[in-house]
Amino acid sequence: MINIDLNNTYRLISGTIGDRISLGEFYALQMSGNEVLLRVIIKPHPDPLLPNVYNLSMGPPVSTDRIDDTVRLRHKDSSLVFSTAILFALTFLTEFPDMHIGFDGSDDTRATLYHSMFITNRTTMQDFFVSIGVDWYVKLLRNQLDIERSAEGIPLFKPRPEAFDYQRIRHDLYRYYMLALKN
Amino acid sequence: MNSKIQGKIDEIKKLSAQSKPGRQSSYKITNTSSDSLSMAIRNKKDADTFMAELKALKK
Repeated sequence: MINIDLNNTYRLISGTIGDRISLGEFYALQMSGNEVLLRVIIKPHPDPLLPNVYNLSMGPPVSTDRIDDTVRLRHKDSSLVFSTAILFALTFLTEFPDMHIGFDGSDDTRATLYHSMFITNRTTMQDFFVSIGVDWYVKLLRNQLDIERSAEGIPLFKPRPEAFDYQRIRHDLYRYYMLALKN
Repeated sequence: MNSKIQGKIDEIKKLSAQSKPGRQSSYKITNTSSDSLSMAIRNKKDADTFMAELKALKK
């Protein structure tokens, strides 16, 4: 279980906040006793149609502005690691209050992590953020028999954001998770 | 926001202000639409609707 505590975070050794890219780096203690350098990146969503949406990722640094998100790490204190990343996200949003940070729940492992983190840390999330869950839906056509499809017959899914429903259990995951700064 | 957390935020912003200029300029925004949200946003109308719904959730 990950407990987000913004009072208890790793100290960044470097940090840059900007609208093109934000980078924060810190050393995280591993179960082995070694420290691993981690980098948090907040960068614009790849879709140019969504200029106010950013993605957050975290992992060991690669080159000057990327991370390795494939390596498996065994953190001594995962809560400390994620609290540091969420504090960095909060800092970014205080600088750019109209922006949103998105987390892709494209596979069940990631979606379960985000969903659990939102639920477990409801108080903290509600103190600082507007937490958002996004479902996909398809339009039922008026003939009541079929759904809206592309010319190729593929269902036309559309995103439907809602205030994160804390009653939704972990078996009813959203497809996408977002954070915005609480007004 | 309590003063300790505000202090941490201020510290990160101070760190950012002290960082060398030019680091950000090397980053190029990619136009590849690779995540699942991109697949559900097909045109500007979809995007505008989605962004308006997000904005409404903040009020």
